[in-house]
Amino acid sequence: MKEAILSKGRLEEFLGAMGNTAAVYAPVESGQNIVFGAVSGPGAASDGVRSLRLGASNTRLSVKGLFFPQREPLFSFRDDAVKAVAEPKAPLVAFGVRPCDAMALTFLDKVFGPARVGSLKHEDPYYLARRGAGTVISLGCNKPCSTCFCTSVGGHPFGIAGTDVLATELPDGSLLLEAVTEKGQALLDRHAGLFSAPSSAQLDDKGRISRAAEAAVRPVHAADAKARADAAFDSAVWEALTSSCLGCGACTFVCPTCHCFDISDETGGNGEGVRLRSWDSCQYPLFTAHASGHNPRPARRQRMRQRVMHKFSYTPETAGMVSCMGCGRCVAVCPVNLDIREIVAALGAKP
Amino acid sequence: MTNPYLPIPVTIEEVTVENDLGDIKTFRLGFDRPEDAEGFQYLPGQFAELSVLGTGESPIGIASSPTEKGHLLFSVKRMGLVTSELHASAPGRKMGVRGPMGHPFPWDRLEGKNVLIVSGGFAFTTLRSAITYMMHDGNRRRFGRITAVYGAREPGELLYKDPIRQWQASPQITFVPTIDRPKDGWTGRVGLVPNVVKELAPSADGTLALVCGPPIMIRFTIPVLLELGFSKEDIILSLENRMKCGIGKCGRCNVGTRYVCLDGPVFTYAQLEKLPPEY
Repeated sequence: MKEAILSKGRLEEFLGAMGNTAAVYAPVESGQNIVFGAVSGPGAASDGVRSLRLGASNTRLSVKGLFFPQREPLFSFRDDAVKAVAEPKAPLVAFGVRPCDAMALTFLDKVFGPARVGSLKHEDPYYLARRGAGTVISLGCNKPCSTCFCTSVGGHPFGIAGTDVLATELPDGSLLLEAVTEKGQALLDRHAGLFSAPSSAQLDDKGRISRAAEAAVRPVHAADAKARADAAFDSAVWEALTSSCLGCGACTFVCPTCHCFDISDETGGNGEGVRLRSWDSCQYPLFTAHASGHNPRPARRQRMRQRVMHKFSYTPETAGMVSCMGCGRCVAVCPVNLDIREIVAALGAKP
Repeated sequence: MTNPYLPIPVTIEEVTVENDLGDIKTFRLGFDRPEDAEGFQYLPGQFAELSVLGTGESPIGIASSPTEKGHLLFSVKRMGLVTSELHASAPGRKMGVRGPMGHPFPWDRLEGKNVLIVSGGFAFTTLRSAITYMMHDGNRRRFGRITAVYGAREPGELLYKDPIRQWQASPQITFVPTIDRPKDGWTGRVGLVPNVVKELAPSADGTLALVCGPPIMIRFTIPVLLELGFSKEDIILSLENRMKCGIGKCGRCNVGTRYVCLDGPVFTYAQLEKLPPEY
């Protein structure tokens, strides 16, 4: 079946069934935040599904951490001997992923995959193994947030880029599941016993919800952002727009496409250790500081310009896509209310 | 898929102190596995990540030439954690190398051309590789006239003193070392690199210039080369930026749309002119 209905009462059963063959992650409550946590299968508490918070607008951190963890060992070592870590290929299902986050994976696939236009090609085995072993079930956004602007950057509250199955919450509380990829189709086939066929009224509901959601997303002036950003590289507009930036880097950590990382060695003093990679941020001065003390981006306005240019000017050229997904997280978390929507809209305007 | 983060095991075979200050040493590294000696295929201009387990990694230009079989040379200035740890290392120490990385000098374009080499200070390392490569028996006839200007603050800061003596004595290359200020015992040329290039006035005709040095030297050399008639496409430079992964993933060495690790470190002046000055 390409489309299936999971009735309201059977969600826990579905998550539990998927947990028999994969670690299932979904939005759960953790302290004050909604984050992706294990709800079923390996790593989940026996009552994991009870912590599910599907109704939340969006998770604090994007889904990227399931495929590109905030910290991960590249290998371990003892004295002079390197010991490779096991390939992270355990089956994983990410459930309840917002379409913006799923679309972000299509960008990360380009960064960590082999495809790069006109250049050397290297593959990242850790990310690619997790992606290969992962299935993404998105949940369309019936009620987009006030900070959302996916429709201005190539996305849609019910977009299917990067997802394997798209779920829509219908007015009767059931979920309409639509297979997008073969992997998604296989997953629906595996659990076919839990589903019923959708009625034409239910399919109509989905269309209506999707159109209403699209209309609810506030547009941002981002259409010709690349040309405007390129022309404004030396403009005083950057100083004017980013002078309040604290350089905290929160925007980069919550971003679903930011992929910068550091590599560092951690040792226990007994000859054993690990070489780790950890998320890093272009907003930190040390990020680009040379050993000589020279720094190509010494000022905060240059570092914020890098972040905005990277997403709206550089990756359209290097990866064929804008790498801002319009999720609005950076807008929501910024302690001084810097707003990437305002920055992009203001490019090309007189400072 | 080979894992690009796993270092190739090597052993330090020899350590040479290169300068009077003693802060630049050349490390000769031998491959622990014979297949790596075969598999590590590189050309002058490329770099590699030197890996010291428990300390970290540092991206360094390859100073040896692929014609020098069986080992790699890296000249390392003592600056931070990894380079200090290396400077404290003796022959026999096990370490690692990831690479080769980046694009080499444009050897397809250099074929059949005259080559002008302009360098200052510590940045001469990959040009040592280039000269050694071109001067190798089988390669020399693939290139026209080779002229090299190499400057340092004082005689004791010139790297690779033995090969330099050989190159100065060779009819196959015009090698001109220069120092910034007169010094007792120095009978060679005195003068800043851009000025020496101006005085030598090598013909730009059928010539490509490889230029590596500190930013200040580059800034004053480019106008001299343009005045001599070199086109922007024929001036070849090598950039450095802070790096971690070396393979275009970690995101820190970009200059606009280009990554120094993937698209460089070698760029033409024509290419660099189009990029933002973030290097």
